Amino acid sequence: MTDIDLVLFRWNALRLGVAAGQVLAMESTPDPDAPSIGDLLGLPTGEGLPGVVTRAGPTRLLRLAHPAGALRVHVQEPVVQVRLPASAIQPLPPLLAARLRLPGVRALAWQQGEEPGALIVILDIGDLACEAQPAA
Amino acid sequence: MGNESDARTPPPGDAPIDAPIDTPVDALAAALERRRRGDQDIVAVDVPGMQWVVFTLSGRAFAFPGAQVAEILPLPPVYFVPGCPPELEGVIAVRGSICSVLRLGDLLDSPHGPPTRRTAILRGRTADMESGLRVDAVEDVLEVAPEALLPPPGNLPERLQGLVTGVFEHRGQLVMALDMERLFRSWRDARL
Repeated sequence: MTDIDLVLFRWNALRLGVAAGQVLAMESTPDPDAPSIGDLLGLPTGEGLPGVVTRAGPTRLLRLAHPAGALRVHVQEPVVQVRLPASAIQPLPPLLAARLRLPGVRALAWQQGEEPGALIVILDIGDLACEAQPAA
Repeated sequence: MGNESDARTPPPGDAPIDAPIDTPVDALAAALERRRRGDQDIVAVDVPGMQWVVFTLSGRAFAFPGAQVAEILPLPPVYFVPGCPPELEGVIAVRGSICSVLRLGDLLDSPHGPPTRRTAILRGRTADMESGLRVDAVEDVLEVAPEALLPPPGNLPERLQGLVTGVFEHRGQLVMALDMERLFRSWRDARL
């Protein structure tokens, strides 16, 4: 079965990922005008796992392929590229899909051997509402 | 950064990520579609019967038809998913599959007690929906004769009307029989 390349990153306690093909580059220079992935998802500051104290990691700037143009967005480290078996990636459970308010969520995945926090929320950047940004 | 065993770290700078990216975005769509088709193949193996799974919420007894309960699981780690209504607690891993978990007590106005070793997840399944349902305790799995199943009383709380299909007595307690299909549809359509 096909393996899927993903780029994973964090936002507080959440593990998020996008298809590697949607990631154009990673930039090291912060841009105060670029939104964070938390902003795009509408997550309140400090959103994390209930009852779990989290500390925000250093941020990186990803340049992502969006239908409206390149989108530069801050994410938290670690930023890594992984190859997961397709069997580890699953559609949203139907009831969750029906009531989920988080935009751009495409699938969920388990990363083997990663406990706790092994759940990865896979995003489709194209579904996130945003404005194209000028290239840096 | 990049300390995961099977990971490659994207390089900083404007250069494209140098690791080979040979998975087109559509490969993800194809994988998800295969998974959806696979899930459909599992459905329709149960034969409707007279069996009921009896459980409690805040000391009140309820039951689902056995044909609508695929399995009873001890409470596993539940993974939080942001952006869900509070009664959707998160997701669990069931032999590698991802299953949502609803706090059934919240849906039925019967607040959950603190977790105990009897807390369980009923993995409920209907024709096109599936979800875990958190219950305080599973009391029994039993056969109920058709004549023992009585119509629902007229004084049901509003929240339970339309969900309760009947009542029967078990160990001196009134058990409210629920329909999983109605419950799932009501919650999916935000009527609960």
